[in-house]
Amino acid sequence: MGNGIYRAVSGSMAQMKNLDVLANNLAHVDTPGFKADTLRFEEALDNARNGTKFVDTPGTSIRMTQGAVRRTDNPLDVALTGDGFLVVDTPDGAKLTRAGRLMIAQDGTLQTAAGLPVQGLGGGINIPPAVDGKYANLMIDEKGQVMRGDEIAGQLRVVSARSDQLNKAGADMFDVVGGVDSLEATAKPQVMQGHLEDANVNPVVAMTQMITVQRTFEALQQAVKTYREVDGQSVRRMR
Amino acid sequence: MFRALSTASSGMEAQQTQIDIIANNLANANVHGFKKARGEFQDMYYQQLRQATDDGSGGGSPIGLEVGQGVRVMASQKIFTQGDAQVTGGHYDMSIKGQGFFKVQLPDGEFGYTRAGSFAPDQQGQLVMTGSGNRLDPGISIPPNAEMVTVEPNGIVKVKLAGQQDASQVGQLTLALFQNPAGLQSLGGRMYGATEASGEPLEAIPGSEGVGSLAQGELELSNVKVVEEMISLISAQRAYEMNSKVVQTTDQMLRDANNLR
Repeated sequence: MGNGIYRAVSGSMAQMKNLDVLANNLAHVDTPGFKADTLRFEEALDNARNGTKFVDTPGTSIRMTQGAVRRTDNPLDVALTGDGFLVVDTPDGAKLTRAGRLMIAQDGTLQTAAGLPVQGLGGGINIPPAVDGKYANLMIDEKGQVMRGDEIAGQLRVVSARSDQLNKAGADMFDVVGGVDSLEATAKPQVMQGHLEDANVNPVVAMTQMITVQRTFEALQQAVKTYREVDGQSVRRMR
Repeated sequence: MFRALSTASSGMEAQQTQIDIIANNLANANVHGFKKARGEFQDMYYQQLRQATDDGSGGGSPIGLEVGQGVRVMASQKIFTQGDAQVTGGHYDMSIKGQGFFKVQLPDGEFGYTRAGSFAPDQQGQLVMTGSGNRLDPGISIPPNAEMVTVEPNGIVKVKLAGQQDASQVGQLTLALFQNPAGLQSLGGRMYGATEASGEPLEAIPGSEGVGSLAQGELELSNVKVVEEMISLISAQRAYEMNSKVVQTTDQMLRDANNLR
């Protein structure tokens, strides 16, 4: 029995993983700041001696295209257009995010909606309390400077990173290979208050990719069936 | 066959962008000075499956085999046609009859350019854009006891103070002219910013050097034609539908191929 059948099976398994990646992308179509993944397909040598190869899927790469920016009119929502990530302090160290859903904690620190403090240029950002309520006169300008009326509370730290320097840590955060401090500040940050960045998942493209996955999987199943029948026939004929 | 799938999905994506552009035009149909945008489509890189050749002795194939890879929206061009005039009678409302932009100062020190000529004096008497409060440049200062303000078609602003017989000049408005207005970047707030593609603006007196003259008491409406946009919307929807048919057909054909045995 030849090992050609394993090649067909490796292809099928790769397509199943591909489907998982696509389904995950689609599941996060409403997650702000989510970046779609693409599965990486590679040829891998099965046996260096006789050079047989099969398909390997070593991992995913993150697609860093801009998501659509949606207006929410919430003064604590920010969207980044162009380059740049916000830096967030977590118990596991500093991480990056594009999901700009912010809130003000009891003690006035600016945090993400998940309760993680957002880093500013000089450390954390503390918003002074206001008489007319939490959201009164709260302004975040294009460069990320946070102001309560005329008082400057701090400036959001916006850094640039390439997709190969990032690993996903949850649906809306990224770990940086080499640490956040190795990254440079974004040259011209564009922070839009009152907006949120949608996931960069295009449902139309995802659907056509799923069609490709399904038909390829079907074709590979036919290949597996053919291998089995050929093997079965040769066994029967030999007797 | 998979090529047809990605080609058709590029078609659907392009129509989605077209609808986004049309939607924005329609949403801003009543904004003074708004200029409509139009999506420019472009065919993508072609794959040469066989080159056309001619070996000189009558052989070779004179027609090659190339297959396209779909479509892309390359640019959204702003169309700078003149909008209709709306007579408001406001002293500080102005429309530009012809080319050119009002120059205003943005909060970060840069300059913005606008066709929306609705201004008002601020607390210091400086003329600013209503809404954003961006100061007109060159600045025009209106004294507090001004009884009547006239803006002449050539941009000269005259003010008649209470108790005075004649009006006196308080300033001269100039307009900015761009080599390539379509290259301007839309900043929102009815304003445009200069870019490398638009070129540096030329400052000119209204009514001279190719720049339009001013009409006080009027505002320029947007140049969006609602009927035109609705027709483009229908056409985009049909194109989207046709591309989705290609996706469905390709899917069926692949299924047929897989069901051969």
